[in-house]
Amino acid sequence: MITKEKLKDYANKLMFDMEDSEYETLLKEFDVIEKQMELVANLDGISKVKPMTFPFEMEYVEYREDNNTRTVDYKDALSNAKDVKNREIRVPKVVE
Amino acid sequence: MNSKYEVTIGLEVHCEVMTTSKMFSSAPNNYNETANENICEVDMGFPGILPVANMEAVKKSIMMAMALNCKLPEYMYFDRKNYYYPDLPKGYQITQSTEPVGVNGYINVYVNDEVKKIDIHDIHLEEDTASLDHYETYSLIDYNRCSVPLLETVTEPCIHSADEALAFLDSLRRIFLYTKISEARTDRGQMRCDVNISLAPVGSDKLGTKVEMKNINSFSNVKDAILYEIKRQSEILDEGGTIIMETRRYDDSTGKTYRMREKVEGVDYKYYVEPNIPPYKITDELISELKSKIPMLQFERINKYITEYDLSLYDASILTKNIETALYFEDVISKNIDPKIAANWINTRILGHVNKEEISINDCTFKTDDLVELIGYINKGTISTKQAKDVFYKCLDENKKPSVVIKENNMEQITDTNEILNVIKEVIEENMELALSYDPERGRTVDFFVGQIMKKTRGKANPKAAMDLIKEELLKLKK
Repeated sequence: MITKEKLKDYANKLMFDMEDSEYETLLKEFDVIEKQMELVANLDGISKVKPMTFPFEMEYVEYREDNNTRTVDYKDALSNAKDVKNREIRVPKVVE
Repeated sequence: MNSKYEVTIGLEVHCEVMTTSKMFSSAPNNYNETANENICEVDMGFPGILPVANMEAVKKSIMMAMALNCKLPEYMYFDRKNYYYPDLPKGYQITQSTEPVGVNGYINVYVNDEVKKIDIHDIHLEEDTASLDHYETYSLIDYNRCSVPLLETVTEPCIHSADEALAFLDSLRRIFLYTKISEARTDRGQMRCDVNISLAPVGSDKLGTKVEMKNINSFSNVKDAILYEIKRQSEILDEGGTIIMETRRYDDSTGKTYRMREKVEGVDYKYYVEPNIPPYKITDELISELKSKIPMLQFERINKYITEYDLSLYDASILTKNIETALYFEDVISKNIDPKIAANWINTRILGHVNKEEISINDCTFKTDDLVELIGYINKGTISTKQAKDVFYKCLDENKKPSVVIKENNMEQITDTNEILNVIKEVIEENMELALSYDPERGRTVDFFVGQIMKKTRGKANPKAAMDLIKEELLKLKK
């Protein structure tokens, strides 16, 4: 059950804050989602259905061979960063 | 160590895998001190990226799981571990949670002279994060390390001392090196360790409160951190205090651990299967292929050297510290050289030179054939053991074969009895008074005459033959 307290706790953990009206909107959305999940959970034999992460059997899967490399120039890679110093992105200090 | 408490330690060891490209991107996987040089869109978590797993890293992770005697899964799956931190541009790390590449394994290690079994909870393949450099008021992010393939080995809480922890870490590192899965260089942060440690009264059936120490980057620091934590926690418990479940960091400049944050049990990382990477079937053929690439590892080699070659644990341990030295030794003894003599030469002279020059034994100019030849000359009596050492260093200095050095320096021993007897007669005549006063109970006269013989032959007379003959000749004078 999603409550306003839970949402506030998550927001706090993710380090952002919301207006009360935004919480109300989210709670309404979660209410719909939860009701739908409840409907699905009550379907006959649902516990026997395998997770559908990969719904199709794949006969042949090959991962990437480890023989080529390519890079992006650091100027391009960092071009959208707000603050760059000495080729690195600068952020507020994250340890005490 | 406070004997009132039993120490329980679990280790989480991260080790970077040696590959050409990264785990999920084609950016190069090599150590680079220039920031943000080895990066591409996938590492930076740009919109629209698709990770593609590196087959070589997958193969090496399966090899490592087998080397740790783990149970392998049927399929290789990856999961997303969701959390927010500046070193993780995607907001999640691709790792393995539901089906790690290996579970329920173990390795045996020597702790001093005893064998200790260390149980492995699991080993999983994942991507490394970016590295952060912290300054007074800000942090800088270098993405070079982002998506470098990383193997995390998690032990069960079955370690009970700093020595056991160190023995395990050293053995694990040797496995990485023997199998060439990783360079495992702690000085480059390629191998890092988290330590979970708790103390409980001896005999208690419950574990004490766990304290975690994160990202310790050298084995000696792991030992010091454990010893410090045992002392700190013992003192708190002795005074009736309670241990707080927390994460601490070890500062090697002070030798102390410091509180980082209170540990929240069971952080919800919202793991779910990575949908962009299809599962890869680990076939029996692949397992056989990879198994054949795992060489005999250090622990098995030590036991073989002790039982088959009658070497001490000490000598066997030195010879097996790296596979190159072990193969050097095995090549020498395959040519009918006594294992103990070979071990003695390799562990003292050859490794002495190799360590001094900071080179691999493979780069040493004194090859296995040279050692076989040199020991052969000693066995035949062509040169003495003392001369052999001189030959060895001349071979290194002048990059020549033992036979050439011996010939060029006229070092063959005189073993011909008549030739030595002629010298002995000269020496006795020059020191007749001393010779006549010879007392067989006292060795000093013999030593003097042997010294004179060596001087006249410029050290070439076989010392044992010279000693036996001078004793005989001096006794004859007494009759």
